[in-house]
Amino acid sequence: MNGAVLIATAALLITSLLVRVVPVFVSMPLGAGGLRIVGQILPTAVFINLAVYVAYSEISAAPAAAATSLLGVALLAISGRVGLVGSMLVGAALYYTAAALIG
Amino acid sequence: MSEIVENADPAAPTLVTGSALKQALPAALSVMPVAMLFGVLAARSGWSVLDVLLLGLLGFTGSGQFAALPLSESGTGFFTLLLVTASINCRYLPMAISTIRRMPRSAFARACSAHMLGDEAYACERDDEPIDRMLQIRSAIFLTWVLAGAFGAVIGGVLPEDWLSNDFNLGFPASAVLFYLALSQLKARRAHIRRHQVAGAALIFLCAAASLGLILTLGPVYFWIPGVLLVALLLNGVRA
Repeated sequence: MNGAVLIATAALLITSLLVRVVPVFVSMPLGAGGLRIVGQILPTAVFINLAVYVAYSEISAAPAAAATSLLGVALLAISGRVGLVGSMLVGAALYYTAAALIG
Repeated sequence: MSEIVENADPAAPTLVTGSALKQALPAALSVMPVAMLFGVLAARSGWSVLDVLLLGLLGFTGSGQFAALPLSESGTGFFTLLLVTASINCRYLPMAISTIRRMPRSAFARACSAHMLGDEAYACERDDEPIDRMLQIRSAIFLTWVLAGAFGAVIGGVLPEDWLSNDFNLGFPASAVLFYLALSQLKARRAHIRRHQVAGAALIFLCAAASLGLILTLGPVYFWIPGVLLVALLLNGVRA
């Protein structure tokens, strides 16, 4: 393991400690309101940002293909008729087909 | 596949066979090509299989790993790398905080399960996930990522230089899975947001617009903490 790899590994390990490990050891006295924020509001806020982030990242790179595919995935997720694997396959098929056709 | 889950007593032993892995499998499969791509790129940069394996195990951060690769190649210092990777991965902070209640009590198990928290695992887990099941879901996705990365490093040295066009987006299936999981979670949580369906959907669109505004203003790396805080404030304000 050379120096550059060692530095990268150390930086990523400390990143993981800072953003994931340390927070779960910090005890916070939470009332009913705090529990609602941590248990319901915060996860919902994370998922909204995650969905927007994924859509933004993919649509920035390949606008037509990603928009078509993610729209299909969104409809499947909302309808709930096709499971995760089926939706991923449909989404990937739509994306790669559209990318091949549009270029 | 059999499953025995005793939810009545949280202290009682929980045995989960197969179904947790079944729950994690689609997400685990979707991260495989991305992890392999990381391994291939790392091998191209002169990293050994052991380097990739150790980085995956100790520095499991997905996008952080991709960012660290060119930076370390160009000789970037430790603190710059730490700043960049911590900024990219600060989204895990609210995720970790919101999962504290379902964490194991043992310090080692708690630290390991927190380290293995990824976007896909977070989106797969339910709020009331038993500890054993949560650990299995996280371990399955984590180990898939680590092993697929190492496998990518193995094949990275074998494949010809122009094996894949730069325009081919191998990471899209993982994005599709994340998008599906995020929307499914929002659908399941809609009742908590607002009882009226139309008002709930309108509120989610408002929050999404606010999040997009922050991405456009601050960029996709630095918007996370302000984005989560702003959306949480909007959701909490409307509920209150």
